[in-house]
Amino acid sequence: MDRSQELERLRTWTERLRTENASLAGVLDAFAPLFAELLKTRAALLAAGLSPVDPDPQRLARRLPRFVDAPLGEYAQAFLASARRILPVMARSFPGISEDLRKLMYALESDAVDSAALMEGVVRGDEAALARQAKSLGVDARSLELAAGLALRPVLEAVGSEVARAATLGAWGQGYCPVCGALPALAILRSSGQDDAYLKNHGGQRWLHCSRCAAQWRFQRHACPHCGNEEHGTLEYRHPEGRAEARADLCRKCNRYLATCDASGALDEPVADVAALGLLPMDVVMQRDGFAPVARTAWNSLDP
Amino acid sequence: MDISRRSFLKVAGAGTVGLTLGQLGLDLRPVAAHAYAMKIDGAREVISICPFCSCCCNVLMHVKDGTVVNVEGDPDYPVSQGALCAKGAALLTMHVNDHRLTKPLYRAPGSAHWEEKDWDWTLARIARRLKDTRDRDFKTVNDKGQTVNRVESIFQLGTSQMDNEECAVSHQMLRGLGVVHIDHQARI
Repeated sequence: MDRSQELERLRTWTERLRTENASLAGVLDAFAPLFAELLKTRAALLAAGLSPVDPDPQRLARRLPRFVDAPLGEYAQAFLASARRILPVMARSFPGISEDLRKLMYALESDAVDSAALMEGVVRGDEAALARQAKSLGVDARSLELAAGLALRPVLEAVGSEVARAATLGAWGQGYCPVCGALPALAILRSSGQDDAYLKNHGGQRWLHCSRCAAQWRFQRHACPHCGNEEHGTLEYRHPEGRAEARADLCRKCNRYLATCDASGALDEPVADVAALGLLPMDVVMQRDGFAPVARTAWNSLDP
Repeated sequence: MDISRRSFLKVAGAGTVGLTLGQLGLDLRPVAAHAYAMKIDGAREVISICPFCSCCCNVLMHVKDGTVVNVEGDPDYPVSQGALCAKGAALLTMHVNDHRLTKPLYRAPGSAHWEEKDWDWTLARIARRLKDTRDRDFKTVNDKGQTVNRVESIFQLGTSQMDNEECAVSHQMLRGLGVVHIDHQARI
């Protein structure tokens, strides 16, 4: 699927969701341009020569994500190019942090920030390093992490695509991303086959969608991706009455939930990011009931 | 470098975005109002085994309040990879079916009507008829004088809804009685 087809799918699913649930209009207005820019940026980075890295079978066999402990300095230029496209869109979509974004963009353009350290701080979840950088830039550390994370996403998407593909073929089977090590923001259930005269009712394979780099990999249906719990008495799912395709799968052992889109019976699978936004009402319900998301994203951190 | 799953969770979990939608400048109230108006349903998924044949395909049983509400093939089961035959796909109707009998029905000889009977009456009746028939017709030897120990006037027709274990127990019981005429609905 080329860039224009991806953008058309994004537009189609955004409008479909807007029609289905008018309460999401404001959130869609904010996030749809950002998702579009993320797509365009990944395509632009690939067109500019950023190429996927080869998967390392030994790391995959050890269940070691490709970039979680790797130096990322070689991607500093790509990161800057991505930030130049992503941060202005973020500033328009998220007026509450537009000033922080302006300061960060200025710092990046004036070499006042160590891009490699920033990227590595995001991938490694190094809160102390991020806090230090935020302080020196005079911005909120949470704004910095969000902005850097979203600017890094197209870079990781571009360089990590072959790793994600190899992980799927090699039955990665872990709850964290084979590319960057982050936990999933969404699960998608996809039919495991086509019905024919002899075989029916193909159960949905569970694919996890990375909260940081949008890589997708397969994971078992009957386990919590956060804590690995497989005890069925502690695993449940909830959904709006009459809409079993819009689920939240929860684990009572770690009190986490994962927004889940059951597309196993769908003719056309939704765009993952849009599907996650469509499940925002379930985020509200689950967090109201005391559960935390498996991974925090820009859209599922709700006001108390 | 030896990195455990636990240390990854620490990394992945630490990478949290702390800003709320409100702090980003977005108004969540319409979504919250929509969410609070929703009626929430749910269930548990339990891995089970299709009972109908020796393939023993795994199935995911969706269970709510002790009742099966959905059945799907288990995509992680390596043999069937989520597929089910038509019979396995209809497993739900074994549990949830308006046509399922929950009490014994008896139709007397010559009658056109079914009567509800309790289990005590029904089991006593079956046992009596089986014993009378077997006592009357049991043969220890055949026409050639060979030992056979069988009864030929009883026939059992199994149903395709019987599972592996029911078939095994039924077969053992019938063989124990000396019944030799046994068949199965699925073969007819």
